[in-house]
Amino acid sequence: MNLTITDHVVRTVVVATNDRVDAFNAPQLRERVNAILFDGVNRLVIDLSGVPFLDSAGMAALVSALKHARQQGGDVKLVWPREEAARRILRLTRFNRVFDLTETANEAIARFEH
Amino acid sequence: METNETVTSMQLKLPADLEQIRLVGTCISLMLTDVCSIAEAEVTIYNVQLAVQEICVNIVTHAYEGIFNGQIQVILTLTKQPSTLIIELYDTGQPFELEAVPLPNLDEIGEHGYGLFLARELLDEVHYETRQSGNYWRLRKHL
Repeated sequence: MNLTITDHVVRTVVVATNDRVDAFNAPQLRERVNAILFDGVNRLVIDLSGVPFLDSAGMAALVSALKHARQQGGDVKLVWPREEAARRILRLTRFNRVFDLTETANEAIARFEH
Repeated sequence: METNETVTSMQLKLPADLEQIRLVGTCISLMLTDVCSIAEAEVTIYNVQLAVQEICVNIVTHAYEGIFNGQIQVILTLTKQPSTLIIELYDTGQPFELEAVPLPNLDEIGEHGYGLFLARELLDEVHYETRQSGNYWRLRKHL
């Protein structure tokens, strides 16, 4: 019997932090995400659940990641921050309409599978 | 921090640096933590911190663009009747055209324009003027 077996693995990378994502350190997030995308990964989960503070520079880094991932045929899913005020800001800026947001990283990974 | 029956105030002078401006948020939290009348205190404190952070980032990255050793003077004033926090910011950087900043198109997500939008949404007043001595911002939040 002649069998051809192909192992098809699509990588999904989860980026998580418990630090603020603000103008001071958003460049580090951009740099790390760009390196991951450059490495050929286009399915990213950015886990904001432990982020205590997110400003517009941090949000711009998320948008940049989304644009780059989609340009490469992928997507970025976000995990909602536990911080209620940060959740409200994401709704106020309508990020929840553009990003697929989940409550856990595992849920976000699962959505990539379906 | 100076305190009397109706007013608490705090002044600080910071290097115009994206890491140092985080201190302003800490001071806002210190001033507002004991104010009992604030509805949804945690969210309100976060919102004020975020709005002020946005203006401070604007000062560091635009007013002081290409300028080293800039400083930001911050005066926080908490009045009790009415319960209001006023944040005054002074810098000596380049003047800013507040009205020239477009609102972000929320239906077409982008990377720019959210800072001032958030400050205006989250505060009751965002006032800017150019003075002979530099730039002056007055931000106000009713508590």
